[in-house]
Amino acid sequence: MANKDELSDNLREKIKTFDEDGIEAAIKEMCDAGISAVETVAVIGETMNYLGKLFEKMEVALPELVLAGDGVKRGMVHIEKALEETGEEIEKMGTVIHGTVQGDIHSVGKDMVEMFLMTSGFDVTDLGTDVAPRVFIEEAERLGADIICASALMSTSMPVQRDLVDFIEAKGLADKYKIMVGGGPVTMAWAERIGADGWGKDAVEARTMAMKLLGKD
Amino acid sequence: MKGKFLDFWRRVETGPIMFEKEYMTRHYYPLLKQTCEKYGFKYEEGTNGLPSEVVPCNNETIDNIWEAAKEFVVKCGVLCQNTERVIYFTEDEVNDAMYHVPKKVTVGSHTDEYTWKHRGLEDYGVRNSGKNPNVAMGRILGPITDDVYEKVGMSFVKEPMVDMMHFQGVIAHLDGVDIKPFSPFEMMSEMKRVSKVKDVCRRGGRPYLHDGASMPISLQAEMMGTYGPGINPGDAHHVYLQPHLKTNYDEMCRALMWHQFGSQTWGIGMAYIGSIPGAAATSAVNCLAELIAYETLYQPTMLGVWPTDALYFSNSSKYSLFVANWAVAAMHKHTKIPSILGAAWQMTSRIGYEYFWETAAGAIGSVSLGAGTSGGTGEQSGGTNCAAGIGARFAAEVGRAVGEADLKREEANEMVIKCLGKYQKFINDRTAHKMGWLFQECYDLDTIEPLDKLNKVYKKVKGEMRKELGLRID
Repeated sequence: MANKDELSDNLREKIKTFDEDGIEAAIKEMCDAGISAVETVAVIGETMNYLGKLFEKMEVALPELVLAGDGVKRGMVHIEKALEETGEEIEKMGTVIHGTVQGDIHSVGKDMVEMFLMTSGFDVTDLGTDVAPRVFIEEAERLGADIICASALMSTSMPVQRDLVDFIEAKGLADKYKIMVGGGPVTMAWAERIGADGWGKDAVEARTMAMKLLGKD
Repeated sequence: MKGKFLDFWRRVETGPIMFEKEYMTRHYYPLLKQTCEKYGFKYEEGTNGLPSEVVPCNNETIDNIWEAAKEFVVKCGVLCQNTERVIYFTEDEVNDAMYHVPKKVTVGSHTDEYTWKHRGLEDYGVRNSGKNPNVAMGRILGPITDDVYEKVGMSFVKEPMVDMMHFQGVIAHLDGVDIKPFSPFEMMSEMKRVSKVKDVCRRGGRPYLHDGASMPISLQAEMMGTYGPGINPGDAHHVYLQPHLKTNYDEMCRALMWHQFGSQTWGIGMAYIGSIPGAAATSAVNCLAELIAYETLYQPTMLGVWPTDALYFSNSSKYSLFVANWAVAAMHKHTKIPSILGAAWQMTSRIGYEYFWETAAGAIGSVSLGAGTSGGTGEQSGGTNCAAGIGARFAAEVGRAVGEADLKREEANEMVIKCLGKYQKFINDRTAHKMGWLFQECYDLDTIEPLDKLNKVYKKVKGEMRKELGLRID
């Protein structure tokens, strides 16, 4: 049976080669071998962080990161099971749900933000594009989100970000979630005007802001 | 090829099923990467951190990227997001489509009519004509507030070197309502935009000046803008291919709508560099593949290039210009398409010193490769009120100077690298968008003329171009 270092190296390799199936299998192997879930998560975090740095230098492409991220998500099932069994706890960076607002089908900027958050340790759920304010709220409740991120890539879809803030306030959930807005025409002034908690000019700033909002900076 | 695209469209109902995520991660990108590697196409930098060949000089490499992009289109196809099926083309179909690209395009009408044709690499037509070699586009993109909307528009209409316009300033607020997609207010805002733009053109003595607005609005709002005293037959509409070889019913409806309307249509080769298509080399193949797919699937009458950096939005960065220039060079070398609307379409910085250098970098590369010039908008096209006619004028002047100098591509390449040296560092450190002025800070809002401080910068950059680049620009 392979030892901890070998299994860790195998997981690192699977993540670095974006092998979605292999990542899940490698995580399962580590859990089955009785390696602490905390240690497994540390290997994942450190390797995803490494990929994030390569992504920033354009040495890794977004579709490759998506594959790696999906593999990790699938592997989390095994980690959660192991945590239940051992009673260990892992510190999460935070849970984020993210979508492009209703009436807007732009996705590239949204995907970029998600990759930066994911490689920094956030648990990110992509709601896709053309997402109604109601859906943001329902998904935030279902997933126990810390941050709701809403992208608008057109000046005509920005008012839907305001609708989202209004809906959250109307439902009495304003203290429960941090709301971040972003997108090409979205400015800090707009974010302040509509009562959002944070704004990122682009994916890099969005990551910084998300960490700041959760006190992880 | 006219009418043929309908045969291709049918394939959205019959092509192989592929979910969008699978298409992106397991089909599109692996194929793009493999094809790029197979043809050995690379992005290379010198020790100065700038691309060694931002203007394509090597004809063999241009041929290689052309073959790579064609092969990629054939192997990858185009995904329909509604049916989640892939439209595949045969190599013969793509070749036919490239043979049948439009050979000339006429925009505007009456006294404002403007026709342009194909121009090859280093093909400047009649020398010393006093005219930009081919088509100068002015472009207003991004939000423009109501108080200066007409003034910004007029600043372009007043520029005689501008042959065609893209009045894309979105009206974001109207009669007490913030505009939202698919709302009646969006329809009203487009009606208002068209009437404002046309009024400005009439007052400027150019009533039929072409408007190629690519408004980020619903088709129903676009259609509303055509009724009554709406758009002119000489105007054009954007038929969209979604970035990275995707389409959907809505975009196909737009294409059908404007084809039946007899309208000019246009499409743009894109690539969000650093995101889905990866780094600069794969992005260049993607951008060219999109141009090819556009002409195969929609047959727009004109094309443009609009690659942007995804990490820090820039349409004039070293990567963006590399991608745009290689796509343009290959398309111009291998088809007879009318001159593509070249880079950069919007500058990263606001109106000022760097903005002019960014404009120059785009225009020098584009014109030496047979493309037209573009200019006017700054601040990443995201800032409010950051567009001015002087940018479009400057791009056209640079283009004219390139033509009159009969510039070779090697010379153009050296010049563009020098231009990049003036501003790329501010893109690297992500501060470019804070530099320069907004329209109302550098134009006299009464006379719609540039203020002295703007004219000084404009002349300063021209002087430096003469001295440091050796380009004789008046």
